[in-house]
Amino acid sequence: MLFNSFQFLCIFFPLVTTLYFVVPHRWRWAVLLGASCWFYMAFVPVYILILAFTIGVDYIAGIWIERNEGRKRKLLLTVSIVANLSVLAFFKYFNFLNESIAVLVRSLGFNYGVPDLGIILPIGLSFHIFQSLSYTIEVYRKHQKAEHRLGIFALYVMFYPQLVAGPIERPGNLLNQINSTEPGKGIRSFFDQERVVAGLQQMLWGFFKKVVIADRCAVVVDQVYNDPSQYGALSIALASYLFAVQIYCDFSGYTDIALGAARIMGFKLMVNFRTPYRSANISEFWSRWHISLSSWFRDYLYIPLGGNRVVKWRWYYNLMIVFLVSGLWHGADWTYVIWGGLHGTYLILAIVFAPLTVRFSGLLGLERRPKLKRALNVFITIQLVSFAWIFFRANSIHDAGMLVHRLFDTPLAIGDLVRLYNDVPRSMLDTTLALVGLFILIDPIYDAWIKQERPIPTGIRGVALFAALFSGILLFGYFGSTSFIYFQF
Amino acid sequence: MGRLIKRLLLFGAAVALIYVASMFIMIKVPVMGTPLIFRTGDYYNLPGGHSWQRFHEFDPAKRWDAVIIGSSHAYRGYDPSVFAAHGHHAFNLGSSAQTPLNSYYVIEHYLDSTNCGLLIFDVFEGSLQNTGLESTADLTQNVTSDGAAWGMAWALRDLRGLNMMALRMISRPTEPDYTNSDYVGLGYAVKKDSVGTEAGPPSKKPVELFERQRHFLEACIQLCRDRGIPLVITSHYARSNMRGEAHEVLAQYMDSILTGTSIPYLDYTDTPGIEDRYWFFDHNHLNATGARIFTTELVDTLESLGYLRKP
Repeated sequence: MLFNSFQFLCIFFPLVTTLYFVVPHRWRWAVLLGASCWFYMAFVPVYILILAFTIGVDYIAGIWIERNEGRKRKLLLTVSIVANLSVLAFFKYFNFLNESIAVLVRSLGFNYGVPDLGIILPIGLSFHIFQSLSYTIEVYRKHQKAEHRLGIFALYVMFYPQLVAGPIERPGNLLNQINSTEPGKGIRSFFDQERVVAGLQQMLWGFFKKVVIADRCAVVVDQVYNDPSQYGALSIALASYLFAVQIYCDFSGYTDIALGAARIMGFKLMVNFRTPYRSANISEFWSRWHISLSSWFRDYLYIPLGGNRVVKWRWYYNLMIVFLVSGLWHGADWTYVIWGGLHGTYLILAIVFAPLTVRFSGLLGLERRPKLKRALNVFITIQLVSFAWIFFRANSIHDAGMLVHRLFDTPLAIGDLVRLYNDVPRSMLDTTLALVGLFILIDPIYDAWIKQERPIPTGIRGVALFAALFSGILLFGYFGSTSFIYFQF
Repeated sequence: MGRLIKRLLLFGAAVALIYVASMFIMIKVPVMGTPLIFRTGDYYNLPGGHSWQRFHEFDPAKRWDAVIIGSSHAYRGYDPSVFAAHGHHAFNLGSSAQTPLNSYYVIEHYLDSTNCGLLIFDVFEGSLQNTGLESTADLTQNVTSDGAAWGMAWALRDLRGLNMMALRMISRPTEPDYTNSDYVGLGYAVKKDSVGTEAGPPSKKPVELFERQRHFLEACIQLCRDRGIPLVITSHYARSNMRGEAHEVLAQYMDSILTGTSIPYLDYTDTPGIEDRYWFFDHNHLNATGARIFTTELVDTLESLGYLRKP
């Protein structure tokens, strides 16, 4: 079920939220678990069995890990990791591996006849597998007690607001809120008008980003990326910048809807984005973009590999491994691996050339103008991130190569933009650019209000600011499309 | 709780105010000669064209021996002059991409047993694999009945329906912005050119008829039954590229819903001798020649079945 669907907005959400507040606190978990099953089964019902399998394995593994010590504990954790990753490998990576092997074998002149699996990737598989894994790892590390009630554990993995596209929660946050015994906290929250309003405002902001900005950008981006041979440097650059906006609004929009829906019910999910395009370097970008995933990789892969407390070459190796795996986590295609590899390379180069960049900015006098220096760094970071997005969005390696080639090797001709202007319905291109401009101005303001970093104006002004958002959705929303980009992961 | 409801009501009022004011400005303020609203979405239609001409010409107070309804197959494939030559008054209420969802509200607001002697409902698999957005965008700006426009905009279950209705209600056009020269009257639009090429093989794209359109097709049948409007369902000639699995799925579906009723499904899709090159002006629409030949065959059949009385 999509958050931007009639079914969710008019039936599921009001019904589940009302039921949640109406039933006694001790039954709320059952309401949420039932609702989460309904939510997930709206996609491909039978895939609930995959979730049931991973939930079953991790539930038992958690209890047994807690009961045992020493090598047996490690063995049980390994079983949990292998079981989870096997599911991921089978459903998400089998075809990718198979096709890669086929290309390799055929290039050597041999026949290869293993067919691909004709299956649809279960929605949000990478998200709930990682969330489930964080539980067994935390129990193994003795940071978390094992959950003995299967229904509660299942709800931790399946909590509908973040089931299919995160944030990837940790048991220390979500499971503890589900298990809350303190009146007014987590699952024992009371109906609080201010919290409900704040949750609805956050959902509204999420919908605005998704329906008004992301889905409109998608029309222009798809036009260029689905037929890159027809466009030159200016169109490709414009489409790539718009994709940077699209993916941010799509994913952070989803996250705001998820956080808002959970907030209404008294749950506080992890913050996943902090205006990432205001980052002054790639390292900062990753501390502001998809925070729940980057912190997952930091805690469960980067630090166990040794992090930065190793010799330099090993540090670089660790960084590169984390980003290559992160790329592969996003999708089973070489385009994602290259995207991850690019980010790893950016980070390594930033470390290697750090002394040089300090000296260079000193020569330019930027050290005495910190605001200008930051603005320049933000600009450079946006260019690097947007360039990497080309690989993320391209339909294939071949297309990515063509896009990069045409980006740097075709003349800057205004006729190219005119062609794009004519190919995309006119109203889409001008309105989209105007709305993106407006969004860039209002994003930091609404974001600060939503995250309660700045008080929302009270009285009629506050009402008008959010009523304007709602009207904006009605007037400029691009409806009837589209799933969220991160659902496919 | 009371305070929350009060806040929500205040919010709703503010939304309504901002929405209507913005719509009004966008509809009334032209940019480069066109109201701003037409630059904000690709689903806003200017009033005019076949649909405007058709619905403004149709007189529900008159008695029509036959009314044809359906998508562009209907208004391009069923020639009222052939009916007239056989002594029958016919009018074509088909419109671009019209789906059963749209047809339902056209029937509901325009037809009953007093003005319609026979409803000929053209079905085409394409119109059952369509949400109805395109046709609603067209008809909400062009039908003369507010009720029909509101009905289909609401049934669309899409916020774009609301915007289309806001455009209709605020702009209230009295003249069309443009007309189509191939419109020849009585709802019929004609193309004289021939496609001139052989048709390709049938499409192998998987076919899935939209559940909502199936629901509305059945609702149309029920509505005709309730209003005492005699109904026949038809599919006109098809080029060989349109005779694939998609049509099979439709034919089976029609069988399943018409079994046990007296409503005939006159399926001319596979009629022997269809001239792929000369009876069509594009991949699936009949041209003047094709429409004349097809309509003659249809009228003969309807007369022989007793749906149209022989003069």
